[in-house]
Amino acid sequence: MSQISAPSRPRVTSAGKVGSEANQRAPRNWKPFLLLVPAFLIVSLFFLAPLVDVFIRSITDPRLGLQNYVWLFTTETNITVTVRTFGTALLVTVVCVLLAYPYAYLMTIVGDRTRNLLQLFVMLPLWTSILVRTLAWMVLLQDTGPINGFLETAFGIGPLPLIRSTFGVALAMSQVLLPFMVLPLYSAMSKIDKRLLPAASNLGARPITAFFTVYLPLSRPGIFAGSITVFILGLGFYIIPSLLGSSKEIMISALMYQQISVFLMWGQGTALGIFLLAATVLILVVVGRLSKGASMFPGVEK
Amino acid sequence: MRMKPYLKRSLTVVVVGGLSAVLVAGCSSGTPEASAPERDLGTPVAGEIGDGVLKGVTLTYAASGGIFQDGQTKAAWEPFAEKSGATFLQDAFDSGKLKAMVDSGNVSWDVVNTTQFDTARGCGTLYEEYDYSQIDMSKIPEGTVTDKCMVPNILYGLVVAYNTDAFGDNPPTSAADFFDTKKFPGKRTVSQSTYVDPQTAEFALVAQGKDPSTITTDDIDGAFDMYRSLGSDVIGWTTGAQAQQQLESGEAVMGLVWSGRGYGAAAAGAPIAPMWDDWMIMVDSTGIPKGIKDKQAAFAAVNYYIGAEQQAKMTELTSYGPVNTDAKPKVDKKLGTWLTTEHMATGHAPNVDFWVKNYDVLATAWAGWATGS
Amino acid sequence: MLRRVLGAIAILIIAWLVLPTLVIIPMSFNSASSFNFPPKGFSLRWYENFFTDASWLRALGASLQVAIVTMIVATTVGVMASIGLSKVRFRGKALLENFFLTPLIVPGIVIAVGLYSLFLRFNLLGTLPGFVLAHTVVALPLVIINVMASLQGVDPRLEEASASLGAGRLQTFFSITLPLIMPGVTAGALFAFVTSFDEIILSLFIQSPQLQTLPVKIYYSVTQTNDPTVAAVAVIAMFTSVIIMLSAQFASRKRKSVSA
Repeated sequence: MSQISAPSRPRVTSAGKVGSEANQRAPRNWKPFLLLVPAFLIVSLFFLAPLVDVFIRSITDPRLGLQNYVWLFTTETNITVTVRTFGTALLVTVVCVLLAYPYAYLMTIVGDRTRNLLQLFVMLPLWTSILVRTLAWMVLLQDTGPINGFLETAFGIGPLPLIRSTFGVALAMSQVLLPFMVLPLYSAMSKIDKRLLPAASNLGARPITAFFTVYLPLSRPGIFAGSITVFILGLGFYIIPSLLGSSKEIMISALMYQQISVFLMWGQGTALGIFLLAATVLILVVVGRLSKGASMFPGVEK
Repeated sequence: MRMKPYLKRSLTVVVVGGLSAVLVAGCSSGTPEASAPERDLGTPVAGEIGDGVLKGVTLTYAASGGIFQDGQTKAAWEPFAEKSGATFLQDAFDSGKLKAMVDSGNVSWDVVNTTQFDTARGCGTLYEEYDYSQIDMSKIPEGTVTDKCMVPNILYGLVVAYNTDAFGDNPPTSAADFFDTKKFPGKRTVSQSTYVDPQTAEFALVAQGKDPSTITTDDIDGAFDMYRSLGSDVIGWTTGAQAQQQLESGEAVMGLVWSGRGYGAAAAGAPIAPMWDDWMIMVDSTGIPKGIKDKQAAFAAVNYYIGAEQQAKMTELTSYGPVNTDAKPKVDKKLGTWLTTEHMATGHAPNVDFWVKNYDVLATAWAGWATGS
Repeated sequence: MLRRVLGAIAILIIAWLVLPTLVIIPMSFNSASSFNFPPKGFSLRWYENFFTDASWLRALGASLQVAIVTMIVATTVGVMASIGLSKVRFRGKALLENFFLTPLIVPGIVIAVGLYSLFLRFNLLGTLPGFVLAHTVVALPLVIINVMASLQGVDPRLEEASASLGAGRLQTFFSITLPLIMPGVTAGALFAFVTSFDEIILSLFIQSPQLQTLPVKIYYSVTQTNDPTVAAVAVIAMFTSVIIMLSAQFASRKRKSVSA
């Protein structure tokens, strides 16, 4: 394994098991608590406090009450954009699972050197800013760009709607989010006993049957972990849909920005933000319960 | 879920964190600021300022950036700083930030460039009323001062820019032609940016044969439906740079764009020309945020900015029209064809009062249009 | 057979991940002032622009400064928190750990809006401490995840042995624990650096004329002009981060092979 490990998702349900064996042996001691103080202060003051501020604004601007939430759920535009935001995030999640699965599987059956290389390549894009990558997609996908140019000269078709379409947005978003799917998938797959598949074939199962009945269920924790991360990160995208999408791809973040910065409706904008946050937390809790079921499968430690 | 037995302790964590957070969030600093000394700057003459009279003063100008703000800086703010002794900083304008600044009493911008609708809506709450006795308004073009919190910043327009390779022999000649995809086939680009230009709605109404000065709220949805009816022939632009790129690359054969962006595409060598038969007049405001420390210095800066020489240079550098009738910018033939000041007779003036009064209706309609619903 | 098919898929995926971004390299040598493809002619003028325009250089300098300080702060605080979490035992621990990690999943714009009004009150807008604190919040989870992962592999008996030989807590930490978790610390520090170096949404809100980071300047350039200087800047920034990452990986691998 290379040293760069994954920024995997915060494990809401399983966290706390980390090093729990060691904990049992550690004496009760208040001194280690001091080590937690700086992080606690920073996160409280510069993360929780702003969120509290956002929440307070959402119920007090322009006056105390829930009118901003009423507006949120009764305005057609908000509902359209919310449905679209969830749809886009889901689409991107599916694309990422389909692409990351074979990639992560390949990582489990090759030698150390090739695996390191595969991991390096999947992490490489994380080192280039989203802005730069979006700019590159803008150049490539425009109607008069190289891809449409090639399609036209080679096949006489086009221009295809690559930019200003869900396709363009999903393509760029998946490219950004793929690493967050590959790494947890690989981590789950690497724990699966490699002798299981041959064993299944020996017992007469066809490879495809063996894969679906044995391997896929065992890799489910990885699929869950990666999907939650990709889905949740996908919900909050702002720059890519704004620059690569048309009005029909705009997502909640942009709507929130518009309410605050253009219409000066801080109350409505912050209500959108709190709604997005609440949806995120809800998904984590629900999926957390579901994925707990997955850990009942043998051979996989959660 | 293993969280249940933890509930009590975890609540403590949340409560402690939450409390400290509330403390921070709730504590605001409303320090009363010392009012700036009133200096004697004499009778204002547009474009003039005494030597070193504002030594030690720092002013910040916030505008929409790019070539536009750079040009204004070179034409007016830098020479102003040099002559008056003030320090001039440049920042990116954002209405939402301005509201937060004014609400918190901690305003860090002294002069801003925004739309005429913004200053009219926020006059007295977000923007200071001008003391026009401190500014030489004698050369400001007639009809451009649309509320008490603004001095015009630039004159420009929302114009149809079309591709001369596509329509050179038979160019569009009316707002209605923009919507005629049979006679003028090809994609059009229209603003779908987060920023609202009421003129976009007015343009569609002009195409319907309506007069912007007599429109009602019932007309607003119909205006956006005009654009929607173009179907796949309409693409949106979300930033001025994008509008320019779409015209330049030929993705759009026609666009309803800010005049400076049309010129930008033409200047980059694209075959793009303006249609002046029906165009929408736009005026940007120079606003003074409510509660700034040194109003007198800000007024002096605005007074300097509107000088004939400064405005001429601003136009040469930014391609946007001057707000001083004496300004004689030296422009080449290409830029000359894009200056709105030559075509005031065919321009439609915006119905500012109507839009200010019915801003919420517009905002809802625009949010729907700009998000494709 | 399966391996071949998977290999082909992997190569396609890698191509999709890496190649598209490279299109900005030819664009940065464009002699026309436009993002039209293909670029016309060859010119170094956009690179010249970058190196002669003080505001671009200032933004690069500011970004490096903020990223380095963020890396130091986030790594120090993150390592402390990880060790603390691994040693303490109390009922709200899982929640506390999640609390540290949540900034990773909260949409940037929601934090940005709240942070803006907070910073406004405390005069932290456009200041180095403001940037560092804001970036630390989003970088901290990555440090904690990486360091916690390394700590899992540390045998607690080693620390006990060190203590029984009379070493103090600090001495034990620096001579036993830290070397053992170094790979995680390095990885976390690198993530903290890039997170800060590329952070855009928070930065857009907390910037001021006094302090503007490179992504902010790139964002303004992309949304306001079609000036290919931004392509040259992107190429420079891209190679800077890739070189930092490759050399860090190379260095840590070398260290590992020496210690092995």
